[in-house]
Amino acid sequence: MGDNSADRPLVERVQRGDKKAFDLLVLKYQHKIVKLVSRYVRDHSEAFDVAQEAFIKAYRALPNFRGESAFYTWLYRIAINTAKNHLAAMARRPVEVNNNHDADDEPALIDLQEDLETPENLLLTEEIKETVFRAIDQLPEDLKTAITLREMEGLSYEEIASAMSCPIGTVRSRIFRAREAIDDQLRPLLE
Amino acid sequence: MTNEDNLSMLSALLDGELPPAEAAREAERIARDPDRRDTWRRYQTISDVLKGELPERMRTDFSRRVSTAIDAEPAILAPRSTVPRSFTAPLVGAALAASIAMVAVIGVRPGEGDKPAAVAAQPSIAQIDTQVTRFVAPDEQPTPARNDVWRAQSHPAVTPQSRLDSYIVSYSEHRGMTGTPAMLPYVKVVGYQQGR
Repeated sequence: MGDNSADRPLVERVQRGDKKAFDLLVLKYQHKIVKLVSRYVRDHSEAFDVAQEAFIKAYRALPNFRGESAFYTWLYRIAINTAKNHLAAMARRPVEVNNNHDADDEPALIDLQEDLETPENLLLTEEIKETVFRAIDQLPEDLKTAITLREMEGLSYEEIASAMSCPIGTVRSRIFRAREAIDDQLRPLLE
Repeated sequence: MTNEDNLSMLSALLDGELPPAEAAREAERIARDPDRRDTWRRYQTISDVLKGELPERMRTDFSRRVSTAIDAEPAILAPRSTVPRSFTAPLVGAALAASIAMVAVIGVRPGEGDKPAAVAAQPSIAQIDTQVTRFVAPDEQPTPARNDVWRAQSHPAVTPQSRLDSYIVSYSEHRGMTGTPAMLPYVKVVGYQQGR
């Protein structure tokens, strides 16, 4: 089993009209897609807009998704195309110089920028990373090994069970307990 | 179910390590339960950090903004089959070929003593009355072979054998257009030698 089988029940639920299932797919792939789009779109606020557009396009195209490729592979292609289309559109757009701006416009623009480009956003990302790695270091060895083999090496439960000479059920339990321990420290940051 | 059983299934779903039926049940639980949904979000964030997939900048409200945009979209109400098309196409061709082969076996079986009278006399396609051209669509420009096929399918005197002939002609034409496998590979030609 792999990521494709993990996504299949969610994809099928969306295809039956369950929008909340699509939310779970967004939560799963939001960081990957934003990071991917950021390679093409340097402006961070635009990168988020393009990533959002990619997810919306994927939702609209889901009736036509037949599972011939993994869901993420399909989403990846949509995100790349959306980013490239955005770049092409930006290249065609003439540079607008507005010398007649209304003073009332400025506060709204400033608010928007503060919303998207705050140092707090940057700090949060760094703080999340530090919290997670600190929590990993504090884990018992068997839990640390299990979650490292899973997340960093991409091994399946069966492969981890073979590597650690333990049953698959034990692997599942160790990975879960590792996540729970890390989550205990991460939760206050994200709530 | 203990709390560990409860959330360990969510953890296993994240890794794609649940059997399909359990995965479907867990997906529904997560979609319906806001707390479970938040746990799913945080576990995914942990995974993204460890895999180096966290973007340089985060928007904590990104998923909510996407969700709001999706809420404005019409719901998907006409799901398509998720069985890969590349898997079904040969099956469709094989099913069609098998059905023709079955008709061929039934229609040409030798030594039957109780054939219906209409089957005994089997006119060739060329001998069939041209009166039934009314069954051809007015805007069609059929080729002579196709015209014969239409006649064969429509004339009251058409026999199973001539209808089989017309199916074979139609199928061969269809195969040329779509590239699906021809019938012949699926029909085993068997010869009988006298005295063996």
